[in-house]
Amino acid sequence: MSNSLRNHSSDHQSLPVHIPGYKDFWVLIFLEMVTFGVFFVTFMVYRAQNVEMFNTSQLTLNINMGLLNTVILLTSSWAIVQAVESARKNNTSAARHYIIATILCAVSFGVVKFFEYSDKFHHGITLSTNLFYIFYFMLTIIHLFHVVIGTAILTYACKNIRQYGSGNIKFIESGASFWHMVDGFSYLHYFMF
Amino acid sequence: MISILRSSVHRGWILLMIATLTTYDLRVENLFGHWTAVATIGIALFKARLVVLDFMELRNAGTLRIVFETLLCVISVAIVGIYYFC
Repeated sequence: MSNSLRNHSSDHQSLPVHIPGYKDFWVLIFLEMVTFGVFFVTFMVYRAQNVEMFNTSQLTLNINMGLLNTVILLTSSWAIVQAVESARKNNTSAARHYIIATILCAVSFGVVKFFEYSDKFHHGITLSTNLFYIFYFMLTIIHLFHVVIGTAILTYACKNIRQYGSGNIKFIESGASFWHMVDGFSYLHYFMF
Repeated sequence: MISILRSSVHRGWILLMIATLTTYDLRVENLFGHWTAVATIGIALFKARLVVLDFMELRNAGTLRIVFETLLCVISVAIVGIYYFC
C-alpha cells in the first residue's frame, strides 16, 4: 500500500463518528429503503414465475429515457451536496443557487417521466395491461412521489435559506440525505425497468 | 481539471456517470450474456454505496454506516439470487 493510501485510510479511522442531519430522520430513510427493497424483491419473485412475459414487456420500455433520468438525478445529487457544503461555510447565497439547481433537475425528471408515461398510454399500455406494468407504474409512481416530497422539502429549505447557516445545518443535511436516497434507488429501478 | 478531481464529491459524480454509462452499454449490447444481470446489479451496488458513503456522508457514521451497507448488500444479493435460482 502506498504512503498516501495508508495515510488516507488512517485519516478515516481516526475521524470521530459523524452523523449528518437529524438522527430521527435516518430512521425514516432506513424504513423507506427497507420498503423499496421489499418492493424490488417482490418484483423479482413475480418475475421468476413468468420470466418470458416480464422480459418481453421490459423490451417495450425506453432505456434512453431511463438513462436521461438517471443522469438528471445524479447531477441533482451533486448539486445538493454543493448546497450543503455552501451552507456549512455560511454562504447561503451559493446554497440557494445549488438548491434551485436541484429543484430544476427534479422538474426535468418530472418532464421526462411525463413523456415516458404519455408514450406508454399512446401505445395503449396502462396499469391493467399485465403484471409487469402494474409493477412498472406502481414503483415508478412511488419513486416520482418521493421526488415530489424531496422537492417540497428542498423548496422549503430554499425559501428559508437565511435560517440555515453553519450553526443550523441539520434541516438541509436531512433534506439532502432524503434526496440522495431517492437518487440511489433509481439505480436499482434502472436494472428492472 | 486536477483541482476538480481533488474534491471527493466531483470525483464521485464522475465515477457515478461512468458507472451509469457502463450499465447502459452493458444492457444495450448485452456484453456478458447470462452474466449481464450480475454485472448490472454489481455496478448498481457500487453506485449506491458511493452515494451512501460520500454523498450521504455516512463514511464516518459508525454503526449507521454498517446498517446501510448491510441493507444494500442484502437487497442486491436477494435480487441476484432470485434472478438466477428461482
